[in-house]
Amino acid sequence: MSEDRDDTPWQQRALDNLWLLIAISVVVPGILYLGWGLWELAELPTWGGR
Amino acid sequence: MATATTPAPTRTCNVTGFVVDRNGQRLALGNIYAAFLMLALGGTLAILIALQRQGLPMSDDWWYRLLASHGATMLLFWLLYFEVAALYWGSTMLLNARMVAPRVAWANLVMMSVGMLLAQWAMFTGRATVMFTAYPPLTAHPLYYVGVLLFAVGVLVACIHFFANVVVAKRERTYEGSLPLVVYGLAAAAIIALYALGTGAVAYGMLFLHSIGLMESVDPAQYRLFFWGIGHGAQQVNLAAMVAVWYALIAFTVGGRPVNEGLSRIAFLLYIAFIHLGAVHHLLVDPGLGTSHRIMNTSYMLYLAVLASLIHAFSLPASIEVAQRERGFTHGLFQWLRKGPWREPGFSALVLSIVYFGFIAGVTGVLMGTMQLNMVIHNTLFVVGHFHATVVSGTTLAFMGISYYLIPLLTERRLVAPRVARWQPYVFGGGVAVLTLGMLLAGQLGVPRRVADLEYAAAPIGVDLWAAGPAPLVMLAVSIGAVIAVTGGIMFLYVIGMTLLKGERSETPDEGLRIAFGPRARLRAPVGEPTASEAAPDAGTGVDVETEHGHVTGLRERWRRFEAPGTYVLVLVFLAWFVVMYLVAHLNLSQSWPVG
Repeated sequence: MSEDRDDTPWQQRALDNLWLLIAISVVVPGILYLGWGLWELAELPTWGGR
Repeated sequence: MATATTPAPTRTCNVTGFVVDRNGQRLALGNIYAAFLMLALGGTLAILIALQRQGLPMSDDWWYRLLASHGATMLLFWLLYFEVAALYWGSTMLLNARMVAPRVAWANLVMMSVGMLLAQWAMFTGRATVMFTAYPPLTAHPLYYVGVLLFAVGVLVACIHFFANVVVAKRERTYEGSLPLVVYGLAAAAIIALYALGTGAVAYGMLFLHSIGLMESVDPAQYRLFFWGIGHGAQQVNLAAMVAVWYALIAFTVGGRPVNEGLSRIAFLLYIAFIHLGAVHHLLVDPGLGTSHRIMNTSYMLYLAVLASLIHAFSLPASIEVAQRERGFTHGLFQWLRKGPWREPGFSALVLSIVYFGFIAGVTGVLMGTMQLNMVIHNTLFVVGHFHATVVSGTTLAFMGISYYLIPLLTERRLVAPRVARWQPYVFGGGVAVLTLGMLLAGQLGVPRRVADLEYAAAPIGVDLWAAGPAPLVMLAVSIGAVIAVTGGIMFLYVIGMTLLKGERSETPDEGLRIAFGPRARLRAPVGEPTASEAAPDAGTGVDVETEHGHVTGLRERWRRFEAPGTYVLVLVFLAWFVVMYLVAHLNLSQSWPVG
């Protein structure tokens, strides 16, 4: 198993790593779409309570 | 304890050579049956909604009930049931693996169905005419939200089950190396679903708490931000699953393999990372979000996901071309395409689906994601035309195509009425082409979406925005397209239904179909078509070509340098179409708000 891994290029191993892909799928839109969007909405006086 | 140690019952498929776990087979079929029932219901609602436009008597109240159910049935239930089936199929049969927890999967199917029935009950009884988006302050019966949440949790459990199957398959060494590309595409769909379902749970959870009085109010802007995580994300689950199905159909129908598997995997990675950001194109007219957020997401980052689609747009036809050229169809740029197995329902569905999705759905989607262009068609029937092009002429047609192979292989029954199956993709595809193009044109003319009375007869002030122009004729075309498409849907359900009821049981259920897939099929020539050596005995060896420099080069050498020249021409045509559509859209924009 470990020998197989050694022969595999790191790029392919990264693409095969489902947990890494899941993390990317959550982090990228979580920051750029949700986090940034919620921050902008929080800045609105009507939503932020100011 | 006994069930934990007893090996799962399996069989070896005589057609593909795969080891088939019977639990996975039954669970895939169970979800497919549920999907087909939803397709029948959604199609029935579609024809009623379309005929209302041509005078079918129907109260506005009922029109909204039917529209709400049509949207949920087709966008959520039909597609997600089918995709759950595809996840089980891919993670067991394509990996020679087993379902890790079949009882959980059956309980999951029951939970999803209970949720679906609750939501349908609420919509049909007029307790949830909030449409697919369910924007607050519109409020539905609490059980509507419970139903949708139950269904969504069921899909989430199915995704987790998919990952568990893959991990166990890897541990039990039922496959070696990387996941096959089709399974990898399905994994991308499941990964995309995780984020989508998470945001959907927050959005619908807030509405549920509000509907039972535990939450005083739901902020509309906040809700819309969370909702489009699933509203848009669910369609990207369809996208990734559809592309995976396309690769499977290429393998089934022409025995093709990806021309560059690594590049196709990178394209799926781009979907995983960036496709969710396209959700902002639903929020381009929302006042709460800043311009930087909207444009950065839709006009910069999303293009990385568009790049992924462009990679697939080259890789898919190139895979077909290379496979066909290997069969001997090497003459000129397009013999490989002309000599394609057009009588095979899987092949015609595959090609029509790719063309519609690329030329219509993809291009209009990118146009709508451009902030300025979005202003021209926002909330018109153009939007409806776009997503019918994606999920009907794209995803649904692809799913129909692969069903012609999955159903015989999973049920071990021969397909009934293959002649009907042969024509079905053309009828369905022709209908949805008229339907979607009509909707796009109607939207350009200003026809609104989600309005029962297009003539505003009950409005206190007369409104005549579009009735005097060509729009009524275009709307007639939309209705005609719907009738033709539903006819194609009936043909599909007839073939599948009769196969399930009366199909002859067989250990070789591929008889009558061309399945260029698996060890047995690879040993024989497709019925009625020459083998590679018969078609072009000298292909790649005996024909020499004079180059402009006077050198003589063997044909094989020529193709080695450029394996898919026909595809290259096709993608240039696609690029030209993209540019023309962009120019036309900007021309429309310039005429909407004259400057000076």
